[in-house]
Amino acid sequence: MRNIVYLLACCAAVGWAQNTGAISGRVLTAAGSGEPIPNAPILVKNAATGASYSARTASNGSYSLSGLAPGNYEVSVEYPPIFIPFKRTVRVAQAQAARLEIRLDDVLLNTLGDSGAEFVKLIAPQPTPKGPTPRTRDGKPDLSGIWLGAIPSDPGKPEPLPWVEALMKKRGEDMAKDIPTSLCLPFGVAMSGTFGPIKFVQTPKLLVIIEEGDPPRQVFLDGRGHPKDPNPSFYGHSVGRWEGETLVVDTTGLNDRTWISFDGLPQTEMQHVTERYRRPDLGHLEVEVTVDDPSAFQKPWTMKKTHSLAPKNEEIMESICQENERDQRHMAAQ
Amino acid sequence: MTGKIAAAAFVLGALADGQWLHQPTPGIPRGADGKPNLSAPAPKAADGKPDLSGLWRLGVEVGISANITAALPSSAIQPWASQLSLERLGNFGKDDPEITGCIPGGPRHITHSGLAKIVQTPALIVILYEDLSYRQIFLDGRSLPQDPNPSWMGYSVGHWEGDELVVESAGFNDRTWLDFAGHPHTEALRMTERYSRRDFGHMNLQVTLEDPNAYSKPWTVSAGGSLAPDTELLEYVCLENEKDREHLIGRTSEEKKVIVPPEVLAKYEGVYEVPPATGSYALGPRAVFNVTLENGELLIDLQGKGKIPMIPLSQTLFSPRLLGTYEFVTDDKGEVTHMLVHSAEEVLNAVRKK
Repeated sequence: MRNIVYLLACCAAVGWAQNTGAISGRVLTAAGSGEPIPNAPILVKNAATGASYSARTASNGSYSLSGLAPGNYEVSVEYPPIFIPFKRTVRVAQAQAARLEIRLDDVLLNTLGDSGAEFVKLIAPQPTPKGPTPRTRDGKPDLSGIWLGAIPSDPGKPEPLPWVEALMKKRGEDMAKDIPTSLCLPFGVAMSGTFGPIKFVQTPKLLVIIEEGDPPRQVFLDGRGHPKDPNPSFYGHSVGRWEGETLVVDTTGLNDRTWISFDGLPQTEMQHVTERYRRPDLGHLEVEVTVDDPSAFQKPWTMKKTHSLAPKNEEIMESICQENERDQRHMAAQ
Repeated sequence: MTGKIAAAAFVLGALADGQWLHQPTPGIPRGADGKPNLSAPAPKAADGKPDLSGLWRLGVEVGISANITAALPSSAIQPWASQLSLERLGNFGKDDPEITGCIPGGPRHITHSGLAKIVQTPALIVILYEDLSYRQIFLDGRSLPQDPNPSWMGYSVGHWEGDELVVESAGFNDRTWLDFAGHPHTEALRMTERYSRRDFGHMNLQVTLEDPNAYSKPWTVSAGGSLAPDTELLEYVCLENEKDREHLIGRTSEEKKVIVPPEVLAKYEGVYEVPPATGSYALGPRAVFNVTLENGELLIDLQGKGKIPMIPLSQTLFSPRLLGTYEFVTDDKGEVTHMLVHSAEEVLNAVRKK
């Protein structure tokens, strides 16, 4: 019986090998010796026919696309917001597997650590404890806990107005030298908890979100509304209310001095951010962030991400950006 | 001069908080006229403990944050610590990390009066400050770590003794200053705070400082606070449009050359009072300064909270790093009649009483 299975496997391989080819390899961080990047989306497009194929890398960073007609293929990987898009043309010959090892540059120009492992950790699925959603005395879901940073699983589709496109182009040309983090200023509220970890401290009337690296936020749960004419601030004014199992956090009163993405999407004073938090079980916090800003975008857009509960004994460490700050003077445009 | 004003403005910064905001705070007991009843009973948390939650104006008085060691005999301050404090005063605090580095001020940040929001849960208290720094106080029974990574805001654990919350802190790095006079501390610093909420609107607080590497015995300073109703923390980002640092240059070489003869200093001795009607923004309705000459050095004391050396900038102008600069004004007959206190917010006229 076993022999037959082997035989089938053998013939299947021979079957494609005769007419088509394949592309396979691994996706690694460009930083240091290269850390395997899991779950990276690979898109392969036949230059002549336009036929496209997609795959995602396994946990060891490997990928394989087979059954490709011979020809030139454009291989691309877009894995925002951490990695810089990659594109290369590869020739696939009949009955051959082209090997392509892809090294992705990251937005910190491969300077974080010696392998980019920190970034990979943000992407890789984390083991979490199992259990039901914890609840507060008043029966609401208790979002309290330390949550690992999460990059969006769905970054949404912002459709910037022309002035925003021009601004982002300029910021790109300037090598993002004025990115708020390099000035030790807070990122916009829509970026909350991207790198984390973040700690939720929930009381009946107030939710405090402590971020490692960014300042803490307050979300009022006591039924107050927004002030009529708030002084615009980096974090604005946030109020939350429960819609069933979902905590809906509404933020206005933002200033226009920070970014809400690494590629330079701006925060504006018109921006209205709605965050929807749901804890479906003990180990996960699902977040949907909707940015409504008619002054910058053609229509509202939504990004989604899921935080995993941090392992026991994790704690938020004090992180003071301006302590021994040596970077800023090296930030230069082209 | 600008440097002194910038530094002085910072001292006042914590007082120039969101008191102009008028956002009614829900859940505060109020009288028939709608005014908060701050003498209502202190609230209890769901677990039966006193609930310290709320927005407080909390800390020591201005005079104490100017010199927190005033209650210690000078013999209890190790010579290196006294010396360092004098150097820092002489440089107008130009290297004060909280001002030049926009870095949380550690122990002084905790004791210096300003808005602090206490968020209490059974196992954790978070304290938020206007400059977006924060503290966590663990109430889950853990002990202080044996070998903490030294940090700016330290590591804090708390427990209840009856209705009193006792917070013990360690793990501070040695880069912050205990007060505006620049009294140093080492990584051995231990701080104990005892909080008790007297009634809805008032908090008692005693802070004990212990650092055998710099001070030969522990000492306790009284602090306290009142609830700040109908306002909120205002986001304060120190580094946003930061323009002060370049002006903080310390004492100029010209100023270092200033020598005021002892007979002139002697003329400045006396008691100076800001008339109650003046109503100082920083000091409240009444401020009494006592200027004395000891061992050839002019010292100033605000409301009996501790003496601070006055560094001469000219024959008439001095900077003790307490609110601002102090100018002695003389009449036609050469008698000192009053003292002008120049700060960023105001110029106070302190009339000589004795």
